[in-house]
Amino acid sequence: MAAPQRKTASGVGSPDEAEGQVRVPPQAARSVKRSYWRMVWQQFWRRRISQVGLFFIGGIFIVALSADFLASDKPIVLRMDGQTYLFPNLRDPAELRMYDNHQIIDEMKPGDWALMPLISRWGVNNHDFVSVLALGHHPQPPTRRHLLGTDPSGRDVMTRVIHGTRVSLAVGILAVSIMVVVGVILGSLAGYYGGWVDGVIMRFVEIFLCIPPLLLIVTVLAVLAPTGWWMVVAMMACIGLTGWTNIARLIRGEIFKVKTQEYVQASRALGGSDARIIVRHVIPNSISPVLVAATFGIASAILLEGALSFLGFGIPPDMASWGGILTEARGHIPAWWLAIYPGLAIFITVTAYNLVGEGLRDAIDPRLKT
Amino acid sequence: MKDDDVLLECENLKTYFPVRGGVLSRKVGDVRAVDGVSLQVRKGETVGLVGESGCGKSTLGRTLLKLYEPTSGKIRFQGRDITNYGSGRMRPLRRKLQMIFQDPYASLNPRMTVGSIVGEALIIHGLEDSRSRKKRVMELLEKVGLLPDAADRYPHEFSGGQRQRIGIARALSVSPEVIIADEPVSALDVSIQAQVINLLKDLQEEFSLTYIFIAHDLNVVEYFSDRVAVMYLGKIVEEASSSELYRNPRHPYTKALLSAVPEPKPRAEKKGRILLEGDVPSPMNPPSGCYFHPRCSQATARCRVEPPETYRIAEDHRVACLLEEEAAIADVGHEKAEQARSLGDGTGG
Repeated sequence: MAAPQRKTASGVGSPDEAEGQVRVPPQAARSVKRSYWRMVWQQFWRRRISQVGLFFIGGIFIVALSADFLASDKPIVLRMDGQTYLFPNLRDPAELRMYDNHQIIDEMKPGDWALMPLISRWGVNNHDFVSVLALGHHPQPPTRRHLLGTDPSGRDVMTRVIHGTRVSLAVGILAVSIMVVVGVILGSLAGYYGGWVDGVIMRFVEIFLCIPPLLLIVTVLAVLAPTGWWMVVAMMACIGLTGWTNIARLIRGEIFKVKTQEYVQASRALGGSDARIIVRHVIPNSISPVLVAATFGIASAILLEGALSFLGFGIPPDMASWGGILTEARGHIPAWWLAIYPGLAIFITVTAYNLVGEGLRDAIDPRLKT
Repeated sequence: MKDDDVLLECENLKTYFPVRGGVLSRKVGDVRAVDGVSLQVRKGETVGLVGESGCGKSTLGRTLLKLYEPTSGKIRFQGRDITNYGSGRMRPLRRKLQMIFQDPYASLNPRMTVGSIVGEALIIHGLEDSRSRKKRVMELLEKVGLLPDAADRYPHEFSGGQRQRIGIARALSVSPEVIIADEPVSALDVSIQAQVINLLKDLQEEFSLTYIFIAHDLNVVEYFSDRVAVMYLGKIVEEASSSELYRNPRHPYTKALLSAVPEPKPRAEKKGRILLEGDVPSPMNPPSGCYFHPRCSQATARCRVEPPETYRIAEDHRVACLLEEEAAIADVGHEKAEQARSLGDGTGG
């Protein structure tokens, strides 16, 4: 690593004290503020592979946010019968409810026009009955009509992979947010107060460690039987509530180290309350390993969601999810496109998160000079 | 000269840290970091606290600030007994009692800008609104000899001496009356030590501060302090005005410490260097009688069993050593002290 040389490059920290006033080296005064996170970012960005990971995650986010513009059964802008519809793909106006893109095109008169979704003209639950006549039963292999083929009920795989990004990202990020919030709060209480508080919290950690996440999720989903997005929420909550233990233990260990530091004593000597000391001094100095763990956590939550959907417990079939598409490949062995494309999507996303996590870990690990 | 001008005092103060062991983490003993210390600090003076590593001088300093809970004894500040004050009642007093820390690298939060480090206490005590706070931080930085633009930067951009100045600015921010300086220069280069020491002296004059100055460098303490207390294994073994102590050390431990001070002139003949044998005994299990007897060249059989009382052998000179018993019983008059001084010259460093 070229890290150590770089750190002193700005020349700050040299014992440059003249008689009375202490002068700050001029080149340091000109350099940008180099906070800790800035240095971490520089370390992170220096590695090409972490850049690649970050670009992929950025791309995946864009796909998830703009899924309705990339793939939908309604146009983005439509001029028809003297009326202009803006974003029917988002609004789903009542007059157009009976139409999909293909029927709209068929019924267009001169003067009518439409801006179609950018990648796929099929909706998430848009069953293609027409092509059955020409190509036989679904699932159909990739054709020009369905670039990544269709699933057994005649829905476009491309569209479902694009929309499945939303579920995967939502599950990953929200599950990990729950993990981090619960883990950081309980972990820092345990680490800061120690004693019986620590004892009680760590026993809880051990109890939760014993619960296999898959089993808990299956049980919760079976008992609560949530529908639609509630299903996703329940799943995220379950993943979050079983995964926080790791984060709690990480931050607890860090806090044991940090709380004996003199700046913590200094804040107490100044009259700082426990809450202030924890929030302003202890957590900011022990949070970095948690960030790394959270990044890896997103990757494993996405995998877990895929596994659950694959087992048929996850996302309901009318919602697109990568694991859900994979499941359908199971009953239709020669339909390789049902396995390869969602599998690829999961692979890329998980790899991207892992690359970023690794880059972050290495950027934090050499214990940047503080 | 007692009473009225005593600002901070402690009486038979003890700070023990429990040692836990075994499966059930039961208490198996105590580390007696501070073991019965009585000390008075008068307004405007500087009390030096010296002793080797692990003798409890830092713990004493922190206990006086109630950063550690005292096990027994009393702490009084301005006549008020603050021993049992909780953190809430302690908060207003924290403005008057401040601390400067030893390690300029560990004592500043690396994630905060210098401005927010120095200004933190102003927020805690609700002293200024955000605009005047900024101004006050600038003033403080200037006061300790830093440029005001330091406020926007992070501690790692500064050298050790500069960081120590930041720590001093932080302590000054609440306009304290007493500052406990816990080895404020031990981690610094010699040339910078002098600057920081002089800064502390100037600030003392300007704000009429009272210092408790913890150090192990005897030269620095002699220069800086009005009075010096020597600690050994959690107890004060000798206490005197600094000129008296350096001219006329009475306790065998003080003599050994002073004889170990390096001479600035390498060729100068070393007179009567006293080498201490062995290590400091464990504060978990201190020796019987006088804690110092296993390493004392003059120890008698009595020292082994009888803990020494503190004898006042002269005005403002106290020694906890059985050997002083006779001298103390005889008289504490002026002549005696003079005589003692001339006697002490032979062994003094």
